[in-house]
Amino acid sequence: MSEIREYTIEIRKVEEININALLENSTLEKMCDSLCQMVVDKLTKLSKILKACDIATVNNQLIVNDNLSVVTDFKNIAESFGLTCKEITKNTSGLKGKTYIIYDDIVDLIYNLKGTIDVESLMGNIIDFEQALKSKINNELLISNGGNKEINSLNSSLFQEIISAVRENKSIKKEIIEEVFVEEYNGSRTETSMGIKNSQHSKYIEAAKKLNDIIQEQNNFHKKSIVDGTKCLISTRAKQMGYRVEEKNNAGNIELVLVRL
Amino acid sequence: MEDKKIVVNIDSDGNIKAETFGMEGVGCVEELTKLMRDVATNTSSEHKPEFYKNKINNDKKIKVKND
Repeated sequence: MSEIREYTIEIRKVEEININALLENSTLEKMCDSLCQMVVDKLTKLSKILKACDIATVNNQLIVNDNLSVVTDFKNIAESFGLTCKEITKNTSGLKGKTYIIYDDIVDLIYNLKGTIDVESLMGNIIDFEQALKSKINNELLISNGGNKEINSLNSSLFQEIISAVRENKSIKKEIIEEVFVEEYNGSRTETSMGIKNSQHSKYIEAAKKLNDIIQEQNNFHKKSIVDGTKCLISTRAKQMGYRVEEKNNAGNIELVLVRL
Repeated sequence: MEDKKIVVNIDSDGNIKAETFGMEGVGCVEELTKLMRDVATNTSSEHKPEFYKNKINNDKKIKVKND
């Protein structure tokens, strides 16, 4: 008597996801260097108008104390450079004049990519940091929950696993289950694969692409911020010098027409 | 009289180009220096004919000698 048996089995396998084909460690390093340079560029431009201020860093946020209140329109200028700027009152800081806390999303992005960043050493050649100011700032005054959701998402285990694989030049190994349909008839056996049940390949590849996109977006945003910040710096100074400022957008370039009043 | 004007162009890479109009002599350089102080780095400049105008005017005295 013939007997037909049909059943499904699950075979556990290891799937290798090669992220390095999309993003190599050397490319990631270059991206991090470029992001660090963006922070330097922005803060360098900003620091030029802060010569009379005391500056310190706490948790990679810049603390600026303009104790003579001589810097005009500082918050607006800092924000035009794409920075988050919070003015803290004399009552909460106990510091004379105006005090600002400045936070840059790019710093978080670099931290998520490199696992470390120190704004103070990054800017050490450009800004004379006032160490005494550090102790006067309570951590509660710092900007919290700041930043861009996409950049914060890079802190997740998925992205960190990808970043670490890129850094170590390794593929990501994940267990997968292949479902196989088995048919046995008169001692013969046929197996037909029904596909992989829980592949994470596309999830990781999509996330790696997303990582690239987030870095690229920051690059584009930085370029725009440098233009906007420069425009704001010049406009503010021109107004102080007695000019009327007219702005024109000339084929993607900004044209400021300053007319002496 | 022409308005005193400065036209500033900022390109998409943040490079700045500024040109003065209606200003003569070193005044235009002083005005640009005040405006661009600390904003522009790695600068280069090119003087327009107006820059030399005052200097030329100063030397325009002609003495007539009757021997």
